[in-house]
Amino acid sequence: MDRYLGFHEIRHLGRMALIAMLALSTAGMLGAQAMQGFEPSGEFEVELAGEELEGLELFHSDRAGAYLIMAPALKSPLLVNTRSRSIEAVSLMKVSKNDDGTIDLLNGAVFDNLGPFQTRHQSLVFNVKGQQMTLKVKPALLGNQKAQSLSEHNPGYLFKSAAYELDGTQMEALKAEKRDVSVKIFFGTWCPVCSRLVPKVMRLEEGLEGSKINFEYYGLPRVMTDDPVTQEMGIKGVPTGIVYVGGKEIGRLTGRELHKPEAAIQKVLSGA
Amino acid sequence: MSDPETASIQPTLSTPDALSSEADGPASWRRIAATVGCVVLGAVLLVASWAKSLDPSSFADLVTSEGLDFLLPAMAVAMIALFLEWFLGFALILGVRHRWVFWPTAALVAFFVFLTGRKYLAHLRGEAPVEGESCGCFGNLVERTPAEAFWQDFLLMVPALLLIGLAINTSRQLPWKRLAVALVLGLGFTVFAWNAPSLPLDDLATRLKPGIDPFGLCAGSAEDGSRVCLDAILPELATGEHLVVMADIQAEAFTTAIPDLNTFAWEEGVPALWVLSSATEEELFELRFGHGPTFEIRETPSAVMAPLYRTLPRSFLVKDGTVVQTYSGLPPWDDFRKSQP
Repeated sequence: MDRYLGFHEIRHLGRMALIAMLALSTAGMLGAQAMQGFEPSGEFEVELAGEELEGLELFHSDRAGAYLIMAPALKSPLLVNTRSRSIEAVSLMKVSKNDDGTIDLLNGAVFDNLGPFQTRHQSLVFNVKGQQMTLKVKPALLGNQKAQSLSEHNPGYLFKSAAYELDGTQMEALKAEKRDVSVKIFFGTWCPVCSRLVPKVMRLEEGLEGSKINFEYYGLPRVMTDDPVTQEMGIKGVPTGIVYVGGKEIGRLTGRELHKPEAAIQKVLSGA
Repeated sequence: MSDPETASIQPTLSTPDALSSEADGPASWRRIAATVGCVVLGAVLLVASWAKSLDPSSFADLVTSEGLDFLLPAMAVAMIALFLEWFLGFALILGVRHRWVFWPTAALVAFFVFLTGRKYLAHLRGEAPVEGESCGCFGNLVERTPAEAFWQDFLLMVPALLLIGLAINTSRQLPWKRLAVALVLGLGFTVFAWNAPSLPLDDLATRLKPGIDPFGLCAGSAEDGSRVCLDAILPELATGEHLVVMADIQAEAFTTAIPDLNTFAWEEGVPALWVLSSATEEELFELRFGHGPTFEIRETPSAVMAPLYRTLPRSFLVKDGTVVQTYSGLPPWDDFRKSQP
């Protein structure tokens, strides 16, 4: 005997379908949110078939746990998804560049799974249409550097620098400084704390252009104790800022002080 | 019946002449001094045993690092050493100055001073490892440089031992009742030490507890420039609300929890999430590309982390530069979600 659904059962099924649709759309929204806000990164150098990838633009999203690789040589951008351990092809039409330099992937951006990646000695290796692509951790930037070379080494520094807001009151005081001041920042491009704090100093340098305060940067290797400058200067950790007035050291800034470098430098100068 | 403790007391550390002249009745000041020595040295041994009993695993690690596990497993050596220390400490506090207590105590003190002295000497020669020293008899609770460890151990124990030596009981009769009490207490506290890892004693056993300034958590020596503090590793803790998880990133307990951490790291209105790990650069790379964490992991020297936990993972909540809560294991994620409006 056939059994037909009654009104109440149809209504119940309708409710269930509505809930399922809502859940799916919420999940979709969450997924979409996770694929937004890719920031410029300079963590890796990328090789395709043994050659350096020209015109590389690398982006990273902490939230998505993914890197986005864009280059003219690639037909479509590639997503390195660390959560699924896979390489995914992304439709260029669904890559949206924002004014602040970040990138969002629109819904349905990923259109093909190109397979898994392997990790080998601090490198990621995978195949793109039969050609081997390698992401290698960049060697550390060493020795005396200018802010520009930091930005070139890691575009993420420039991005973070632009996002930092300086304290107007402190800036006025620093601009009014009459003495010759030099601030030397010892850092490591391999150090996550540095990648958050050094861009703030770069922003400060930009804000103090034309003032009596000059900035220098000095890159240290990962094994700092091997570096003679570390020993000579007594650097115990990075980042460390040394403030000089007239060539004479008057104070040091470490870790938490560099969160607000303008306030920290002003404090050292006012006490000198 | 005379008390065996006072029946035959002889000043063994005196000159031979003095020994013969005082053998039948030492001056009362000697006995008073010896009693003071007993109390001081007994107290030092008990405090030291307590500090180590709270975290016997760290003590066992110390046994291994000193190469003292050549006959028995490190934990067995640690337990035997703890029992001896508890027993002798209680015996001294109970005023037992018998030679059968004195000489083992002297051997124990000599051994501690030898261990800290050896490290101090190595440090003076520039051979000491660039690590925070929790050496000597106080376990992980006290941060001491090799020099501090040696001189503190020496000054706390050797003078007290010499005072006891002024009036050692050489009677053939042992003070059985007091020794029995010391034995029972020693055994009891050794059983406590054995079970301590499963007891909720993290705040007592480590330097990490509510109310402290996390930036005061350091390791290494300022003298040789090896000092590292948490402010260089996680300066963000100075302001705002932060949840810090200390973890062995290769342990299954942590890797299986990564999806939870990933979700929590990007929720709104909850504290900022950080993970501290003493893993190598290679291990961190493998984790990043093997498990896809979406939270930040900060490399932390093991010397900084070791005094902050008994077992990993351990977590703590920081508000505006002060530790306000600690958790054994991973934090109770849902509690933070519920506390949000």
